[in-house]
Amino acid sequence: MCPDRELLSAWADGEVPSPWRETIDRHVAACESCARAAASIGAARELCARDASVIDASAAAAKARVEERLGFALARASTRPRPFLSRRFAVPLPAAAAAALAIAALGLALADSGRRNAELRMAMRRAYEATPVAASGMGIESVIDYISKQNAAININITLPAEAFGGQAGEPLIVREADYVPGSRR
Amino acid sequence: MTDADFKALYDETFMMLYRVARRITNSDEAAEDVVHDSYIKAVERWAIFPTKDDAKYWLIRVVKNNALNWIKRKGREQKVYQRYYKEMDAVSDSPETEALKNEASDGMRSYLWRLPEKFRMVLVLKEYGLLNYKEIGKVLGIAEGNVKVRVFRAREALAAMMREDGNDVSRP
Repeated sequence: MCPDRELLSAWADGEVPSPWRETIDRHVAACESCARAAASIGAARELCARDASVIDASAAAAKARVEERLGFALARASTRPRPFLSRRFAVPLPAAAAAALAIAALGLALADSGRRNAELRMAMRRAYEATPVAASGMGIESVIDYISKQNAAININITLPAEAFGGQAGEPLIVREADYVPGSRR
Repeated sequence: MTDADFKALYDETFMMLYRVARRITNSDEAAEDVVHDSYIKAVERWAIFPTKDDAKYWLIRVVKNNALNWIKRKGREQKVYQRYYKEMDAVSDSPETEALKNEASDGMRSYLWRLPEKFRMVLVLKEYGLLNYKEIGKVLGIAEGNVKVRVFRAREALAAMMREDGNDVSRP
């Protein structure tokens, strides 16, 4: 069976892979019709090759002239400093992916840290603006009483007198809230 | 980019690019200018080419487009001149027709001009650029199978023209 003409055209261009190429070689050698078609393709290719060789005859001089003109352009391009931002660097794909992940993780960490810092700043601000309940020496009972009357969480700053740390070491008067007994010094 | 890199690319591609430009423009001078301008563009964009092959295919594409633009520009200029001098001549008003007249006795060149552009382009890249189907597909941005079909149809059209001219070698 004859190959279709499209396949024969590809075969003439060397675009048919083995073993089909050898099969068509044998067929064309034996089939008069396909041999005529192959000869027609070959004739067209031969005309092109002859035309190309005519062009090549004038191409050698053109090559020298263009090279001379390009020599100037190339020298100008190589001496002109290239702006840093326009330079391109080849980075392997795994390295680029790792760098992108690291940048993303760093960005998330910074965002989270910023959020926590903002919360801390707000807490400190609230603490400074808190009512100085114990500033007038009302005693710890009045502080507890004040806390029990609040509906929401509040921040309390307890500022101890400086003399409390004046060199007297020992057990603090209040260790924790659970240990506090009203009316007692312990 | 070093001079050596560019020189290697230049030596490898010049003849092919010149042949393609010359066959499209049908003018030595225009082909030289088209190829020169394309290399200048390549020098300016050297950093964007990952490999030398990418630069090569890009150059072929630019030469092809620049050559086609030259043809269109030339055609427009001729029309303006003809209108100005009132020398309207329907037979010689385009570079294609003029080329056909000049080269009517010159075999393949005249046949190529009579082909539709999409068939002429694959044949020019195949026979003058000496590219394979895969490379032509890359340059034209079409599938390899499509290249195969276009080359075949271009050859069918050529064969028909050659038969009309009594230039058919397939006849016994």
